[in-house]
Amino acid sequence: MSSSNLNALLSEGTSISDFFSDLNVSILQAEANFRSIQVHVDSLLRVLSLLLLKKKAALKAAIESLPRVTVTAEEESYKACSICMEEFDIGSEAREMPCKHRFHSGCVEKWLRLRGSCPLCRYVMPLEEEES
Amino acid sequence: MATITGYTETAQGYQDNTNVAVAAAPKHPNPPAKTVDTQSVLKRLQSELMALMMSGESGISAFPEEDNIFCWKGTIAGSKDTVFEGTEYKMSLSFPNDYPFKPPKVKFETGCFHPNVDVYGNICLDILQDKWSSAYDVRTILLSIQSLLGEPNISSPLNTQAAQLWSNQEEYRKMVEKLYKPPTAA
Repeated sequence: MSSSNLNALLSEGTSISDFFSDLNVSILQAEANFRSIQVHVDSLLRVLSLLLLKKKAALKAAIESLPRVTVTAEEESYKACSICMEEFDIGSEAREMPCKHRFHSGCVEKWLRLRGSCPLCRYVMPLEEEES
Repeated sequence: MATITGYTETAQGYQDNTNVAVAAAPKHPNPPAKTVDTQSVLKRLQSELMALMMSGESGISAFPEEDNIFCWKGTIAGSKDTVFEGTEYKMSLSFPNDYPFKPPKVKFETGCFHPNVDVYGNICLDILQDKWSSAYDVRTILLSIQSLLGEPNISSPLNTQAAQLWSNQEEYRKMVEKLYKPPTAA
């Protein structure tokens, strides 16, 4: 299959180097896609440890490493923190989970110390070894 | 309408009380000290009450009890085209001091013949236990229980008789009608 494709490409006048640079681009794209899927696969795998090993709390280091983001005016979809239901103040700091859901820092830290999953979509964070 | 106004005043009254407690030390011994955490629970329950009253959701309702915003009474109407159509159930919701990090205790106050409800009104529903999320609120809890009525989990019943009868919807409906005692008006 691949050799006949290659022959077809060559017969259309595509040079070998063009062929390999095109191939390289698509590999890079595939890698990018894979990385974004990987985030969710990791979450899925942690669901298993949540179920099988009864792990609950998120890993302390993982909680601490959640990015701090500044809330801007145009972010309509992130108007309120769904843990305390208070609106975010424009310009204030929120914490963003790998699933991109945002919460107040204090709110999400307290929640993840109890249960290591996103309150909105149940994305599972890396979990502590023992139940705390 | 009068009831709604009454409850609004209650919520407002509660807020005023807590503000006083924050501004000045209480002169008389207070029950458990109001920590920052309790304040945030009160705030969240107040915004839930507000949102619930504004939403005009049909088929469910809930209000805090007169003297305690941590205890709510609610109602759930049986959905159309289910064996519970035309029946209404009074619910009690009791919120822990660390709500919404822990789920409220929710019970049926009106007897309900349902596979996942026991004779004491206890409910077996995952989102009220291990599947709890702090993003759930009174509205979504009551809506979940409303859909549980029509879609019971037969595999883990609290009421085995109800679970066995479920497959015969005609007989089930008769049983619901026979056992149903409408909640008395408060």
